[in-house]
Parts: sequence; C-alpha cells; structure tokens
Amino acid sequence: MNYRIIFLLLLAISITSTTLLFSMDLYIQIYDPDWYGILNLNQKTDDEKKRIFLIGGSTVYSINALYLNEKLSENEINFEVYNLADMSDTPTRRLNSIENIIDNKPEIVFYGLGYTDFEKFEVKEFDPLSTFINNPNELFRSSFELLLGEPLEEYFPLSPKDKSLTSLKYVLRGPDEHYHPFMSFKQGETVDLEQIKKYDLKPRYVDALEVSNNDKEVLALNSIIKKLQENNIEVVLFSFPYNSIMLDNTDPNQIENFEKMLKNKQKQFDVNLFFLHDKYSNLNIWKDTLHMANNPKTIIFTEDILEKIIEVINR
Amino acid sequence: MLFNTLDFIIFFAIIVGSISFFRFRNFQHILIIVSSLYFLFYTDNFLVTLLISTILLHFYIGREIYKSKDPKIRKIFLIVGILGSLSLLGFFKYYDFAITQFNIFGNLLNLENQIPLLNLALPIGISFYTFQSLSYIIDIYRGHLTPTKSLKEYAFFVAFFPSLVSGPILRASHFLPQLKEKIGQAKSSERLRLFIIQNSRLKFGISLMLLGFFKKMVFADNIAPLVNNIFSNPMGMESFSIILGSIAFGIQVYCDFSGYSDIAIGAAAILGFKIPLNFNKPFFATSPSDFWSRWHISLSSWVRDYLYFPLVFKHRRSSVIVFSSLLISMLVMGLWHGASWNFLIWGGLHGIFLAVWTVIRNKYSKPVEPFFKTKFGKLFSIFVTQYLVFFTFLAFIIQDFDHMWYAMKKYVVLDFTTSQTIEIINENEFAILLITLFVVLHYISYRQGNLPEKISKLKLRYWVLFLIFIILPIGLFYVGSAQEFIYFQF
Repeated sequence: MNYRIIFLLLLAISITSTTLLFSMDLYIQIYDPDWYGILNLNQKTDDEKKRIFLIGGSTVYSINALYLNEKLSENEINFEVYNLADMSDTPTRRLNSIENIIDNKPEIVFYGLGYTDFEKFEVKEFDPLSTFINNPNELFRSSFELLLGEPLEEYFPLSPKDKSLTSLKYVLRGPDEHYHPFMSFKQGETVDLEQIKKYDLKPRYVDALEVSNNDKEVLALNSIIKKLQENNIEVVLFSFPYNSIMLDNTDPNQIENFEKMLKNKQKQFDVNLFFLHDKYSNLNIWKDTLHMANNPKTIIFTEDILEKIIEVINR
Repeated sequence: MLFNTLDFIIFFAIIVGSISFFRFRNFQHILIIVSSLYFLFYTDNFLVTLLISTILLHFYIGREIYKSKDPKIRKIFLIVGILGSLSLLGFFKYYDFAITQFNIFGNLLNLENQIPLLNLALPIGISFYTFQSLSYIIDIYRGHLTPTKSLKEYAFFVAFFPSLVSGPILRASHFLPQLKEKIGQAKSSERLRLFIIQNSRLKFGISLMLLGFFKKMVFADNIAPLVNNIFSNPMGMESFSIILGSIAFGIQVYCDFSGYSDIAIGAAAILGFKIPLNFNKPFFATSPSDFWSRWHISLSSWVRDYLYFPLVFKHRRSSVIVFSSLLISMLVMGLWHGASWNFLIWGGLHGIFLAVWTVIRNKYSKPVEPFFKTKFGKLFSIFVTQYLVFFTFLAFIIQDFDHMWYAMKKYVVLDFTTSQTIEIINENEFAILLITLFVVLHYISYRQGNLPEKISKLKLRYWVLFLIFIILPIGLFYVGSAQEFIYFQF
C-alpha cells in the first residue's frame, strides 16, 4: 500500500475538517457579535419606540414579530418587537452574547425556554459483552464516548447544513425580513402530526434532563436574568411549545422538574413566568417534530405572546 | 451498518489496515468473511443467521446439483434450493402483505375472522443475497458454472460486505475467479489469492467511495425535504409541482442508490475486487429498454437472465409471449422492491412501457431509425423516455392510491398554473440549486465517460484538490444525522 495516498487522504480530511470547524465558528462569529449590531447597521429601526426582544431557540422563530408590531401599533402601544431567536440556543450560548442584547437597550426581554435546552447527553455505562450481543452498534458508540469521556453530541454540531446555509444566506443576502437575519419566515404548510410521526425516520426524544442548581445551563440562566435585571431590563420567562410526539417521548417527571426549576427562577428573581409547552401539543399546527409551521393557522402562538406582552406593558 | 457513518469508516479502515499488515492468505479470507457477518450482525443482530442458513443451503444444493447425473434429481435439488430461499424471503417480506390482502378479501365476503399479522422485521439485504444465491444454483443447473468446493469461498462470495445489503447483485461466475491466485482460472484447485492493496485501486476506490458519499450526503439527503414537502400530501398540488416532485424524487433515489453502489464498488476495488456497475447515466436513456440497461443493472440483468429469457424461450417471435413475459418480469421486479401495491404498479407501468416499446421497435424500427439517429431525434427520445420514467416514480413514492391517482392525472393533464410551484421553489432554493447542479454534473459525467477512473489517474497534487473539493461540501451540507439508504428497506 502506498502510504503517500493514505497520507494525502488524511491531509485532505484534516484540511477540510479545519475549514469546517472554522466555518462553523464563522457562523458563530457572524452571528454573535454582529447580529445584535445588525439592528443598528442594517435594520431600519424606530428609535422612538421602546424595544421588546424575544430570545430563545428555533421554536421561538415561529413568533411573528411583524404581526405583533402591527397589533401593537393598532393599539397605540409604543413598543417594537424584535425576534432574536437562534437555532439550538441554550442559556450557555445566549450568555456569550448577552452584552449585545443589553447594549441594544430593550425594555423587556421575553425568554423562551424548553426542556430540551436542559437535555443532557451522558456517557452511559455499559456491559461490553451484553451490548455486543444485543446491540452491537451501541457498543461502538459507547466505547468511543468512553474514550472521549464526553458524549458525541457535545463534539459535533447538530446540523452543519443549517449553519452553513445560514452563513451563506447571510453573506449573500444580508439580514432577512421580520427582524431576523437568518430564518425565512415565508409561509409553510402544516404537516399532520401522524405524517410527522411517519416521515420522521429517527424520532427526537429526550434521554435525561439536568435542572439542578449546579447545572451549567441553570447557572447560565441565572447569570442572564441577573445581568438583564442589573440593567433595568424586565425579564419574562416562558416555556416554548412542544407537540405531542415530543411530549409523549419524554418522562413526565422530567417535565415536572423543568417546570419546578422555572418556578424557582420566578421566585428567586421575581420575574414573570408562563407555560406554553403543552398548550398546542395536539393541534395540527406543526411542520416537523420540533417546529411549528408558519401560516395563519399557527398564529395562535403569536397571539398568546401578544396577550402576555400587553399584560406586562399594562402592569 | 450504514456506509455513511463514522462506524463504517472505522470498520473499513481496520479491515484495510489488517489486510495490508497481515499478509496471510487464510487470515485475510477469514477476516473478510467474519467482518462481513459482523457487518450484518451490527444492524440486523441475530437475523444474520438467515444469511448463514442461505449460504449453507445453496452451497450444498449447488454441489448436489453438480454431482448428480440424473436430470430429475438435479431438477429436484434446484427446486428445493429455489423454494428454500424464496420461502424465507416470502415469509419475511411478503407474509404480512399477503395476509392483509386475504383479510381485505375476507371482509368483502363478510368473513368475520381476520388472520393476525406477524409484523416481522425485514432482514436487511435478504432480497439481494437471496437473488445472488439463486443465480449460483441456477447457473450450476444450467451447466454454466462449476460449483466451488470450498464453503469458505462460497461464504466469501455471498456475504462479501460491500455488496451485502444493497447490491450490486454479484454473479458467482464473475466473482469467484477473483478469489483465485490467477484470475480467470476458477478451478477449485487453484490457490487462493493474497490480497495486496494496490496503489491504482486504492486511488480509484477512494475516489469512487467519496463520489458515492457526495451523491448520498449532499444530493440525496438535501433533496429529500423537497420531495417530502410535495409528496407528504400531494392533493391540491399543481401539475408543475407534481412534475418537480417526481424529478426531485428521481434524482434523490438515483443519488441515494447509485451513491451506495459507488461506495460498494469503491470499497471492493480497494480490497482488489471488481464488482459490476449498477448505474450508467440512466437519465440519458433513449428508450425504456435502454433505461433498464442503465438503471439497477445488476437486478435488471438478473431478471432478464433468470426470468425473462426462460419465459420467452422458443417464442421470441410471438408478440403476445414477449409482451406478457416483459410484463411478468417487471411485475416481479416491482414486487422485489417491496410488498405493496405501489411497487407492483411501478413494475407494471415499466412492464407496459417496455412491452409497447419492444413491439413498436420490432414493427417500425426501419422507417423511423434515421430520425432517431439525428441529434433532435436523440433528444426527443431521451425526453419521451424520461417523461415516462419520471411518471413511474410517482407510483414508487406515493403509497396512498387516491394521492397517486391524483398525482398521475396532474402529471399527464397539465393545468398550467404556476403560483404554488413558484412558492415551493422559493421555499426550497437549496434543493432546487442541487437539482440544477446535478443535471450539469450528470451531463458532464455523460460526456466524459468514466469520470472516477479519470479522477483516479490524476497526479497526486490534483487528486488531493479533488479530495478537498469533494469532502468539504459533504461536511458543510451534512444534514446532522446519518440518513438510511432508500434501498435498505428492500
């Protein structure tokens, strides 16, 4: 065997891996420091109006900021809403860019959290012999994780494609409409829950949650709330919606722990809190396992948020 | 084990490393057999025993057919062999389908008792290794093949991991001689070959495997959302949306399956084996029969040699026999893909197109031949063939009859509205970009001939650039989890 060929193959893999790591990092670079700056650089904003920021994971994308702003204007409420959700957002990620949020001086921040933000991918203990006999493909994964000392999910980005396309879209087209630079808010058809179940080859489920006081995500959440409050920004926490497929695949005790943790934060920091995680679970308003479709049928989520916004402003 | 996972890359690297390091014939051969069984065990667990029993059954049946002088006994052994493997395949793949049809029929007759379904898991690769094993005993019966005396060699042939779960379907007459020291001398007395990883094959194999990964992970996996978007509920879709969906699905299934075949052929090439092509630019086919000489070649040639030819034997001049034999062959081909009516319809449509084409060609070939030799004539024939081929993909992808019927009507009777299609295009820009890129690359590979061979002959510095150029998009546009190959389910 010519080892030059193997060396060149490994070289090509190293070069591309480095480029990939850089490009994933490039996404974060574009995203984190500049994104909130986009408000000033690229987005025409109304400086007369006070700001409300919506933050959280990709499920929060579904809140239609344009619709909210129309309704707020109709009611002569002098606030403008910006949807700053991000794919795969978690408190630790959000904490890295919280200064940008503070610099853009919102009056209120609505923070959408889901129990999946506190999901833990753990290195599982395993018996090599029985794993080999009963589930050989788990043996490879478990051995690899044992070697790394960390679960594979911690190492690899969930969807390189999403990040690549997002960066490309940003570079080629600049910020998107609806006050969000990355996601298309064009309307999409709702997919029946049964269809989602059928077409979702690998259904998403949650293994374990960690919501103890020492958990890094919980600690990050504490820091975010604290920093926002120190800057006189009102914080409203809410649990974002899941569909029945997700909820049915999650231990109810874990969901209860998640609710308890949020209630603790409510008491600890004296913030507003409301729950939406199971409110629309059986409605046919979803486009996939995790996300709502964006069409008039799903405006119910935005309308609930509108109601809460008005409630908080009027208080 | 899926090819498009880190598991397979490590598995394959260990095998190639071991073969290069330990240069002992027996060790190498046993290593590949054990690895192949492990490869199936990895995904299918104890259903690997079906493969082992198929190997044992056909090995001994093959020997008995060869040894026996009495034609009747030879025939009995052949029937036992065929029934043995078909009953396994039938039980696991078609039992529930047959019972469902029986229950439906029972309902029509107001029979109250329903036969319960078994909900059996389909053993991965069973359709492929069953057909491969059948060809072995049929070839021995026909006197075209001398059976191997070594169970080890036969197990190597049937279980060879690159082609085990989704083909290409190998022929013993082509594969077994490659196990010998002097290729071409298949006599069982010949010594087994030592596997040496050769430079040219290594470069060719790596190039082809990467092209396969590229087809699967960049094209097929990223076009899939557009296909699901259109066909999860096609009711109410415009004609152009249905046509777009069928084109997208055709390209998706081609990239998925030919990508798998490329990885299999590439992996085999690295180990020093030549296994046959499974696809040859099918979207440039100029007739239905030309299409089947370019699409899933190993299966279509199997059906031709072991089903169609025996059916038309001695009656080639009878249009009725030719027509019905083609129809039966293609129905079997459809049923091979899966136990459901939509695959039967898919096969049936191809059977009708093939039969009509064959009858037309036999009757009118002379007057129209000059036209089809012109550039325009060729383009016209490609367009018509592909129009029919993409029409049949509707039956392949849509299982619900009402949906299928609606989509077929829309495909044939155009409604000339475009607003919905434009919306779908806008929402799936990346998939549309990939489809366009695929068309361009498919055309280039059609014009260039054997592209992987040419790539593998590049100077090393240019070859490295190719590697980077191909691995980078795979990494950038990886959808985040290894998607199963469509043909795994068959």
